[in-house]
Amino acid sequence: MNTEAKNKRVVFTMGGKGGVGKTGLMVALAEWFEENEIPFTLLDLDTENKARGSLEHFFNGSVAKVNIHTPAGLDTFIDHLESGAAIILADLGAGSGQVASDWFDAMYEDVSATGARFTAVGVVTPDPASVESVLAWANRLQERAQYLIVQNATNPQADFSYWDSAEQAIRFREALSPIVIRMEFRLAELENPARQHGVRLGQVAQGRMQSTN
Amino acid sequence: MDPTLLSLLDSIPQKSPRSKLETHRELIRQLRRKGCTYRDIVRILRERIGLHVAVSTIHSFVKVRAKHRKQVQYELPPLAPESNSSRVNPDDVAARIATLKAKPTEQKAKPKHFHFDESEPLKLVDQGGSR
Repeated sequence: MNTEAKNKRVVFTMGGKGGVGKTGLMVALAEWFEENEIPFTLLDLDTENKARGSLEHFFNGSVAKVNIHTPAGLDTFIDHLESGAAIILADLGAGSGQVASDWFDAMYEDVSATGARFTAVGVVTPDPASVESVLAWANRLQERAQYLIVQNATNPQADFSYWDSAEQAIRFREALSPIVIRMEFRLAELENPARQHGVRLGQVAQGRMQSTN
Repeated sequence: MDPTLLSLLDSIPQKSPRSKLETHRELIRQLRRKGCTYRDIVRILRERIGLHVAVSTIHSFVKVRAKHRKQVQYELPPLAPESNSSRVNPDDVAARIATLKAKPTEQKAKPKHFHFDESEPLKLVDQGGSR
């Protein structure tokens, strides 16, 4: 067993429903690690993501693209896992359910044997499709990952009935004990231009923006 | 070399390879040249040689030797055509395949802790029905 990969944690977004805020959450997580001076490696497994919405847009030059659609993508992932920081933040693409699931199945056994652990991050919104997407992923992953579920308030009075009260979601919480946190509503007037210019909300809050194009 | 140093060298016994992969170094190099992934190599070593290694071990082995090759400006040899002498006896292969087929498959499937039927709509508990 290689000791370098011990104590590593791969935090990855569960793919599926698009536009729920997965990349935004990853950006916020990365900002948190950065602020607390905890080294991390950013991997963009969302090779189909457009430049403006991708992690690369927010962290120019410090995000490695890994194409999990190719067999060599597994090698690249393992390379990063062994040589990178203890925390790996990996952003999966929306709609990449089956491909990403196959990728996880292919690498899980070997990677977990090195001592690395996985945290699957799911984002739910008031839209029931986002809940279904997370549950479908959990159905594939089972206990191979720990779960962090983020309730993303996409409007000021966000109603999470489907997450809170759907029978299937309750069973998921009982069986796999996810940690659940809430992401408060952000003003679209602020978030959208920031996204457009690749500026993180933390930078806006601290006035650390540079005028670019 | 100085005879004294030569005798000193002779007196030091040869150490066994540090890695169990060392004896298969050439095979691994050639497999990488053919575009095999680490996982492919793990499978080939397990199925053809009976050697069980982790993907990460192959990764480390390849990386360390790649670094070394870079330092000594070592170039990979061109792919040589397969010679008749190096071919494996087909009878041996058939026997190994038969052995593998006879081996009972491992029951790795664990009982699921959570089941979700994607074709079934979400059912809200406190409303007593589907959406």
